[in-house]
Amino acid sequence: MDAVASRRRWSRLLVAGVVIALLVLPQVGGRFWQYLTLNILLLSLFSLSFNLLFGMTGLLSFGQAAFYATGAYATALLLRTEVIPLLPSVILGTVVAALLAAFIGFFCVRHTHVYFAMLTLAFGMMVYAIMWKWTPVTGGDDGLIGIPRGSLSIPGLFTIRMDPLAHYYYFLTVLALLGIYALYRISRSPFGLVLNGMRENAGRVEFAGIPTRRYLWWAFTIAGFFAGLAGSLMAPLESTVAPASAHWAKSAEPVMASLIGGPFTFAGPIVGSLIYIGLKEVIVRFTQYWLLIFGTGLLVLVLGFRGGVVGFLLQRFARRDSPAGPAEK
Amino acid sequence: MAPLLHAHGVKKAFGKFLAVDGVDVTLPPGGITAVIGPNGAGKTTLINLLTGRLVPDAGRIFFHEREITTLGPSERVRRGMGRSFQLVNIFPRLSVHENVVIPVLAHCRLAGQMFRPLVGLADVHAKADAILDQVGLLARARHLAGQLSHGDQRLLEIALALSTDPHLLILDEPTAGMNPRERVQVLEQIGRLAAEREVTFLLVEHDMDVVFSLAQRIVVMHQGRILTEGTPEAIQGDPKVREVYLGEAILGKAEARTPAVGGPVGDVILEVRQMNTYYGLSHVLHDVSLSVCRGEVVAILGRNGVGKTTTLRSIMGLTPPKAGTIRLRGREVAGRPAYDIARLGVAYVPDDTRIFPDLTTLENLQLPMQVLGRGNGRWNVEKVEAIFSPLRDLKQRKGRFLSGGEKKMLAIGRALMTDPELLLLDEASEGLGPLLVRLLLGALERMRKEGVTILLADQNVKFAREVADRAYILEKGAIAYAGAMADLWRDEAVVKKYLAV
Repeated sequence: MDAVASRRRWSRLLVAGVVIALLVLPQVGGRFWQYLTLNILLLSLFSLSFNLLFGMTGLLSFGQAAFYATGAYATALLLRTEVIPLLPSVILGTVVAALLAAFIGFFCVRHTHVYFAMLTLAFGMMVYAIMWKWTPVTGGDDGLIGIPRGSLSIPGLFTIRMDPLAHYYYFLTVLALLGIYALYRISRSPFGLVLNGMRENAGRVEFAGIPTRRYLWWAFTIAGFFAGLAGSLMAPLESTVAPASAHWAKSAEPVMASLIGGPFTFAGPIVGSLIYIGLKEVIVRFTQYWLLIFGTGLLVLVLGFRGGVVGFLLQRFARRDSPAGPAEK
Repeated sequence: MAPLLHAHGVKKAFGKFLAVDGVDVTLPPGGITAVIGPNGAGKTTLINLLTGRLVPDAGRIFFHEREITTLGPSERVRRGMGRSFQLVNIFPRLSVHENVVIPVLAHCRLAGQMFRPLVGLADVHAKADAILDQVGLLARARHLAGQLSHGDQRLLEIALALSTDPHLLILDEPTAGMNPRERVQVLEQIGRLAAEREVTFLLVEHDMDVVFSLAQRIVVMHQGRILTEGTPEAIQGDPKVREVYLGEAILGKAEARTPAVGGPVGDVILEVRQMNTYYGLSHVLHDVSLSVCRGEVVAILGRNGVGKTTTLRSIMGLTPPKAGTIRLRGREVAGRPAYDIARLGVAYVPDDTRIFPDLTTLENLQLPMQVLGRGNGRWNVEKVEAIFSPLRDLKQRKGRFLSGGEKKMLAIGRALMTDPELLLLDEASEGLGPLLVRLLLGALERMRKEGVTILLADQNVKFAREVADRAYILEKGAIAYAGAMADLWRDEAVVKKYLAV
C-alpha cells in the first residue's frame, strides 16, 4: 500500500506542477509556445472524450470529429452574431454538440464492436457532408472565417477583451482543465467503473441489474459533450472553422493520441497528445515528407510500448515497487 | 401462497431445433428446486428464458405475480432475480473486488453516479468485501479476476450472483470445477440462505449427491420438456428418470479400477524435467517433473490454483516454461510454439472447450483435417461419432447452440481429428451428467485402445480414479505425490491432505 500512496503523492505533485506551468507560461513564453500549448490542451480534451468510449468502455468511435466540428461551428455561428458573449457561446455550442451526440448515440449504441465503429464513421461522414454542402449556414468549402473572440464580462463589473492571445489563453486553459477534471471525476466514479465493466463483459453488467444500453447512451453523449467543448474552444482560437474539422481524418487524431499514450490509463491520452503534436511540430521543420517520418515514429511507439507510453511506464514502476505482487491500477 | 415464479407453456427454438418445448414451472417462495436432466435437455436454455437472456417464442413468465416475459435481464435483476452462469462469466481485467462492486453499486442504485468518487463509498466497499468473505475470496480481493484459478473464478461467479441480494437465485451448475472443500463451502452457503428464507433457489446441477442432499424438489427435463417432477425420494425411484439420466449406478460407488496393465506400458512418450513456468512475474510451476508412457492414462490432480492447467498449457507451448526440458519422444520441444507441438502429435482440449461458435459440429470436426492436411489418420468423423454417439444427430448444428456437455464431446472429438499420439485433457468431466460421464469413460477406453496416450487434469477425483493408471498430485505448483492410482487411493493420508475429499 505504501507504493500506491507514494505514487499518488508523486502524481499529485506532477499535476500541480503542470497546472502551475500552464498558468505562468504566457509570462515567459511567446505566442508560439502559447499557441502550441493550447493545441495540446485541445487535443488532450478531445482525446480524453474519445477515450471515455474507447479505453474505458471498449467502443471504438471513428466519428468523434462530428461533435468536435459541431461544437466549433455552433460556437462560431453564435459569436458571429456579435450579440452573444464568449462564454455563453461556448457553452451553447457544447450543448448543441452533446444534443447531436445524444441523437446519433441513440442509434450507435444498438451495436458493438466493428458495427459500432462503422456506424460512427457513417454518421461522422454525414455530418462532414452537411458542413461541406450547406453553404448558406456553414460557408461550405470555405468554412466560417473571421470569428470574433468577443469578450468575457459581467455587466456593470468588468469586461475583458479576448482579442489578445494571452487573454484567450487563460480562458481556454481554465475551461479545458475544468473539462479534463470533470472527465477525471467520471473515470473515478461508480459510473466509470460500470463503463469499465461493460468493456470487459457487457452481458454480465446487464445481469448486475444495469440497463447497459442506456448507460452506453449516456457515455456516448458525455463523450460528445466534451468533444464539443474542445471544438467550441478551438473556433475562437483559430478564428476560422473549416469542414476538415469534421472529416474522419480529424477523428483519427484522438485514436492515435490515445494509442500512443495508453488507452487504459487516465493520463494516457494527454501524454499521447503531447507526443503527437510535439513530434509533428518538430518533424515538419525538417522535411515536407513529415507524414512518412511521423508514421514511422508512431509505429515504433505503438509496437514498442505495450499499453501506450503511460501504461508502459506504470508497469515498469509497478515492477520496481512490488516485485511479486499483482499490478495495482 | 402465491408462487414467486411461474412460467407457463414456454417455448424456444433455435432454427429447427426445439430447445425448450412447452415447459411449465412454478416455484413457491423459499426452498431449493433442482433441475436435472441429460446434457442437451434444455436446462440452460430454460434458465436463459427465465432470466431474460432469451425471449421465448411462446408462453408467459410471471415473477412476483407480474408478467416479465419480454423484460430484459437488467430489469429482472432489479426486481430481485439473480443468476450465475455455467461458464465463467466475470470481468477479467478488473480486480476481484471491483467485480463484486459493480453489482453492489447497481443494487444500491449508485451505478449512475458520475461525480461521486468511488473510493468514498465505504458502505459499498464493505458490502463487497463481506460477500467476498462469504465465498472465501477476500484474501484475493486485489488480484485481477482473470488471473484467478478456474475454481476461484467459479467462486467469484457465485459472489457476483449473490451481490444483488436476490429473492430468487438461479444457479447454473454452481459447483462445477470446484474442489470438494469449496463445493461444501458453497453448498453450505446455499443451504443456509435457503433455510433463513432469504433466498429461493433454482439450480441446475449434475452432481447427484448435491441434488439429492440439498433440494426439496426436483424437476427432470428431457428433450426440451419436463419429464417429471417431485421429491428427491420419488425422483430417485422413478424408472423413467433412471433410464434417461441417472443410469444404473451412480458414479463413484464402484471400487477403484485396477489398470489393465500395471506399470509403464510402452516407451516414454512425454518426459518433463524441472519445468518452471511464470505468469508475468508470478512463479506458478516449480521444478515440475513427470513422464507419460505410450498407452497410459495419467491424471494430474490437486486443488484449484495449484497449477494443473498451467502444466498442460506449458507442455502444449501455450505458456512456455522459462526453465526445464520437455521431451516428446526424445525430442526437446520446450519453447517451441503451440502449432509445432500440435504437428508433433499433441492435442490439447482446454477446460472451456473453445468450440468455433459459428461453425457446425461437422465443420468443427473437419477443420483440423483440412488445416493439417491429414486425411488418413486413425480418426475420422464416423469414428468420433461412434464413441460420442450424441454428436451424430447434431452434425448441422452451430457450435453456439450446443449444450455444455455437447461442446465438451465435440472438443475432444475435434482434438482426436488431429490424430494425436498424446491427448491433453483439461477438466474433461466438468459439467457432464452421470450418463455422459459414463460415455466419456467408455470413450477414453476406446481412445486408449486406438493408441492414444492421455494426460488429464481433473478436479473430479472420482472420475480420475475410474480412468487413470497413474496420478501426480500438484500442490502449490510443485509435484507433491506421484504413484499408481490404486496406491494413491489406499493412501488415505495423502488423499486427505492434498485432495481434501
